[in-house]
Amino acid sequence: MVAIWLTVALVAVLGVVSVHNAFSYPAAGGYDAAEHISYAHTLVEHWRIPKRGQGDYYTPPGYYLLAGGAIKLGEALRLSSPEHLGQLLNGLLAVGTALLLIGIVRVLFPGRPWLRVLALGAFVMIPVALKTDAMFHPQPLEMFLATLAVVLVTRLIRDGRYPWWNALALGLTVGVAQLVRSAGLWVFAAVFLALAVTVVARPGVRRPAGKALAIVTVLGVLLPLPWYIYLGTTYENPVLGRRGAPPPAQRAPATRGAVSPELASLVVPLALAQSLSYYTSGGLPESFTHPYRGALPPRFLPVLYTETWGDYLGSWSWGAVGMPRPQMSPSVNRRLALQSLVGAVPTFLALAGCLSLLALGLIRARERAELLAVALMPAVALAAVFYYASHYPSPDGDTMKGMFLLPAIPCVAIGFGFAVDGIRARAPRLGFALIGLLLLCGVVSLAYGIA
Amino acid sequence: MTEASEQLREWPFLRAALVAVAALLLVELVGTAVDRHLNPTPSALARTVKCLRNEKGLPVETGALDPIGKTADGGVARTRIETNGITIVISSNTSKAKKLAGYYETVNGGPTDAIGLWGHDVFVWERSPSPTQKQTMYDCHY
Repeated sequence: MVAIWLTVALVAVLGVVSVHNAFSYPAAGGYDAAEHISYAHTLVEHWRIPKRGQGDYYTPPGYYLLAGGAIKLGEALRLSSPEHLGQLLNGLLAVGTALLLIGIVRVLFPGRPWLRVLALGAFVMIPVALKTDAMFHPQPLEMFLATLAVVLVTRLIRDGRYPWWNALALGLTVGVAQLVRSAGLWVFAAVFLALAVTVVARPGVRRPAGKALAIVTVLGVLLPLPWYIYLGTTYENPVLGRRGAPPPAQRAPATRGAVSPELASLVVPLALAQSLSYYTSGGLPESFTHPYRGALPPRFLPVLYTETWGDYLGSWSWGAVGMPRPQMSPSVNRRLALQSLVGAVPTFLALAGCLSLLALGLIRARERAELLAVALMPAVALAAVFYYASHYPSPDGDTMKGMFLLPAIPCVAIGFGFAVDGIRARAPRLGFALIGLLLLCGVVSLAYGIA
Repeated sequence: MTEASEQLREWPFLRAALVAVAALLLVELVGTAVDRHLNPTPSALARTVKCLRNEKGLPVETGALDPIGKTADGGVARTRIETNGITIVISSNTSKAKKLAGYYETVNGGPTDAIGLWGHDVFVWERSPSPTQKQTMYDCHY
């Protein structure tokens, strides 16, 4: 009963914070906000996709169609900043995602109410979700659709009946997800892999599971195909719409003395993107003492971590001249450093939880194949972000920020809940001490995630 | 199968994953320590100068021109950001930096926006810095 009330309370907290953030956080303050808002305006006012040089021309129109409609509604209601309704849409999607997360846990772990509370708590309090949900940005819709896809595929595999209408719903979901962000492609990949492993591992359901896989594959390919054809024929790449970094041999030499400092700042990260240490360095100790752009050099893991728990790029609690938030200062840095600190234990547990779910799903696929979608999402997401960061390197680390992992964050939260609940069941005293510590971390992070 | 027995069967997987992640963390820490040993971290002054020159493209001189700066045990760097000159006085700890900031304020006739203290650094500007000038220095603070 306590767990039920806690679940309700967490959803309510998320709802209140999301609505507050939607109207408190400036519409123009988020990641590439001006480009996203301009896209939505262009789409609903001129009914066309922006061209290159006019913003996020390479992003599918799914979110902008909804957000543009929200802006129109805001204009009809004579709001001073109608874009806030686009942000409110994201807040509502965050609450919807939380409800879907509860649904996944109920399907996978029906008798573990504390796992549900822990997973939901992690999702409600992780700053990358709170931040992005407050922004005018397509990623929360992608997260919602990804989580919906995980619910559908998990139920499909658990029930073992594979009715065609459920496969149809799943296929439509993964198809539509690709019409929101390119991340939809890896959501499709995770769902495809989960079903494919099930087909292989469970001979008893091979035929119906194979049919479901075929329906999902056909819809997952056909629905977004017109968009990919448009991007491929109009621009250089059918998925990302633009070329990646040239191979190392064609790049400018990375000798700083030979180029201007401005050019060097562009060239050096491209060269670095090829070195192993660029991806393995933890950025210690700066990841914990100075976790922000400038002082902490852009490297894969540090940027991913500090943007997930704090604000490496300066889009939330600091930065951006002209925004109602402070410039970098010692006190801002202290808050960011605290965020890096409170994120350490939850990240450790979430990684362990996700890893164990993946191992369980793969090694015991015959009995536990229903775990695969949840387990594969973070792994596939990480691989996709790695690909994007290595092929589209950015001087300031913009292409490896934690926001790109957002569609997998509900699954990461389930991994976290799985780990903490497992420890609690095995060693109750240690478990409760751990939960106390995590509660403290969660409250600090939740406070940070309020705009 | 009950949830308790299922959790019992899951535990070896979770334990192995906890050990694996801890091992990865340990490798990262040991790797960082070895790297630091083989490639000692440059001083705060060296890193600040490198950042200002390479990341911000600013001309930087080292060494103090004033008697207070000459007493700083971490060194001194001077540059000009958007026409505003700045002397960066680096101490080995915050209490020494506070003392130096106090000396500068005394010479200047009291506290002013042009004298800033951050950790073990004292920023002495020619005039009150703008947000972007401050930002440049914060970016290159170590």
